[in-house]
Amino acid sequence: MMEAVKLVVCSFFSSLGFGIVFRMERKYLLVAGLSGALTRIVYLLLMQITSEMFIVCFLSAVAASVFSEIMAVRTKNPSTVFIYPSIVPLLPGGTLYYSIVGLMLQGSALVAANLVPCIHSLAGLGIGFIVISIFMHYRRTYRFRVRRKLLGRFVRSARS
Amino acid sequence: MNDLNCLLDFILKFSERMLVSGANLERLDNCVYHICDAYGCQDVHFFALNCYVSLSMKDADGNRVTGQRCIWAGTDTHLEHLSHLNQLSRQICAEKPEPTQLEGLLEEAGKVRGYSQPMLLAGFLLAMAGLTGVFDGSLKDLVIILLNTVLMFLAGRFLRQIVFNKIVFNVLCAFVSGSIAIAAQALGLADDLYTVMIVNSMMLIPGISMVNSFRNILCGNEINGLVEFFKVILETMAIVGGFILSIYLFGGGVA
Repeated sequence: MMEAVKLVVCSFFSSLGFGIVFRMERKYLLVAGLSGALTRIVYLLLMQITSEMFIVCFLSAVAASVFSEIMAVRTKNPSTVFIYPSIVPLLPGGTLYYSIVGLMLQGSALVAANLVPCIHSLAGLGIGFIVISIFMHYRRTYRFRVRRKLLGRFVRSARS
Repeated sequence: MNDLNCLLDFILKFSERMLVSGANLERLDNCVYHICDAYGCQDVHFFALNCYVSLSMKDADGNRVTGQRCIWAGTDTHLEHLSHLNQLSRQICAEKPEPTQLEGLLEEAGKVRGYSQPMLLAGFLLAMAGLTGVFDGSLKDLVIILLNTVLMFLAGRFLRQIVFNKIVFNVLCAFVSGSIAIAAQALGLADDLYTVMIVNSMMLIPGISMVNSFRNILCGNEINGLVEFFKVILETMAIVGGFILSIYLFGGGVA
């Protein structure tokens, strides 16, 4: 339990720190920290259910992305502002590092042990973030087109 | 300069600033089409890569203008600036100011409070301290990681003036960081060399570009997505290359 609390607290501070590094507005720094902590909590809860890294990272990224989109709508900011700091604690730095070390030094055992979990984590994270943001992207595009269509009809009827 | 040319000029500069601040292409597309729509432009063709934008559009009288802009600055993530630019696009769509005023509004949006250099350094230190906890590093490791962070931050400020290539920059930073980590372990000042290297590499790994490249590919911006993806791979290999170079020169084993 203490280990889990430590991980959540560390994720909070690393996201807060990256919020500053990415030069976020000061009033949103706490939100950045909370998004990192939330992502870590979801990650730890999912790890209790399954050890499949793809599923764990995918669902954690979905949670972070939903939180970011909600905050983006509430504050009228691009979701990017909230997504960036929340990604950082989940990046599989260790496995990525060892995979590239293995690839560059032809250490096949190192590659075998790290590359697959690394790809699973990255794919899970990438797809998790993308699923929500693509949904929002198409929703915005659809609303824009519908609005333009309605406006066109209105202008035509006003002219006639 | 007529109104249409003013608008074109504004949109190209606006796009450049959005991309440099860290906007993704889908967001930029959205903003540009909304602005063009607000000013009644027709037959709008906008194409953007992270390093290039091109726009062609017609006004209500059928006059066409076309412009392009190369973006050499590269991404320097600044979320506050991005936020201001996004608000500016909303304001423009709602109020439709005179095209001649747009340049001034863009300059206004660029005035952000920002952070001082010591504050940015504090941000890096906080982030690295948090990640040390995540990677289960010891207190000794933390001290070396923070020392490396300060040096990489200062080296970054210095090297950015003379080295414009991110790959060369990453090799140099990773080499310096790796050499310090090896020296610290040899002197008994660090417990785990690889925790130090991995945490410090998180300062350089282009994680956000990696996620954005996947997103571009799935959102229909395949060219930019693929270019970004290869850039990420090269930059990550450069980081590992720097670390491996320090290991070869000063020892320390591979894993």
